[in-house]
Amino acid sequence: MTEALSSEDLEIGRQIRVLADTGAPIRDANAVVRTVISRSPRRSLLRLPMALAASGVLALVVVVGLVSIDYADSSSSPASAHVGGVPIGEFNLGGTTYGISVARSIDLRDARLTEMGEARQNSGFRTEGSTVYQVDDVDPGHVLVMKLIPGERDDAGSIGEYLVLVRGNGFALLCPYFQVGDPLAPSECG
Amino acid sequence: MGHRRCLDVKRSKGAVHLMDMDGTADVPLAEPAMLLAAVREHDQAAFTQLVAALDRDLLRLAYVITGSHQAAEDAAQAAWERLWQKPPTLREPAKLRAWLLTVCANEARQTGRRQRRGAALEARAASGSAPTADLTADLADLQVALGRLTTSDRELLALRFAVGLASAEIAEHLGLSPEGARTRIHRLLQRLRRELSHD
Repeated sequence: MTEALSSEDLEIGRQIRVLADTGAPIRDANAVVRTVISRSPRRSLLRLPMALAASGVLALVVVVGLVSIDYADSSSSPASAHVGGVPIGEFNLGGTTYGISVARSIDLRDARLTEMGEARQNSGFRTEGSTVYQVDDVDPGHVLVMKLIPGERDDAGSIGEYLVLVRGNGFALLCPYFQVGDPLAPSECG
Repeated sequence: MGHRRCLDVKRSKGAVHLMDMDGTADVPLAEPAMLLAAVREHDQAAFTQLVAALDRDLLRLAYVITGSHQAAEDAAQAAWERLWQKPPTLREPAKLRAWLLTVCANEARQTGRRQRRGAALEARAASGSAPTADLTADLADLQVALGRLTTSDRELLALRFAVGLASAEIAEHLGLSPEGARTRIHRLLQRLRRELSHD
């Protein structure tokens, strides 16, 4: 790892390491593990419901409504968007139609969510507020998400943390947010 | 800097060894694939082994990014919770360490954003006040200088020097070219040198 840094650069690198060490006390691994497990909803009796939820019995995607975004042009002036005729807010997106989908096992915890506007939707599922988000750099013309209120369920169980608004090949763009081999991942993910 | 003290990843027969280059520690991480599979089965012993081997790397990374002991612990803890609650499926299990570092860095960045909203880190950097009472003057200056960098720049330097990844590994981690990573590191070090010489 020498890679041709000068001695001055290496000295600063050494100091960064020393500084980092001051912020990295040796923690009792057993204590860390105990804390993790104590906070984990997945421990003990909760494993069974989770296993059932992941059993693949449930369909990945349930289209429960349509979002239509009426938009005059792509200028900086936003246009209104509608869900089933109900105004849902304003977007700087081209006119398009989205399907509202359930993606139970999508994992966006590491994703950067960028607010794109306010929306109301008619899926029947309750969302945290009405904000619609872009996911990382995924084309918002194909994928948007809304945060669900925790605990939203359908007949098959929890529907996860997000409503996904998808059009075109949007499902394929979401593959990085599912674990490899996830039976609930979109079929486009292989 | 006669003797660099950086962790290096040595892979052999599927195992990952975290080796301190000055020889003061050599913590073997046997068969990450097996450990990861065991964690999926809620094997606490396997999980503890991972924590024992990698927790300090996560703390080092998060501390350089956030400049806060508490935030660093929170970020590392969140990474461990993520591993326990939702262990990843990795095509290359040897990259478990890289996965943990990524999760931890993401948590640290989010913490950093929350801190910025509270005007904590940036205000401290701008004011030049001593960031942590128990640091030597040189390290305190360095921490203030790091606080003036962007979060992604701190992450880059932390991966290189606090965690000890090679430029190629950093490039893969951050989606850069190896040359791009080296160039950014070089420029950041130059900037730090200038700032520290002015302090």
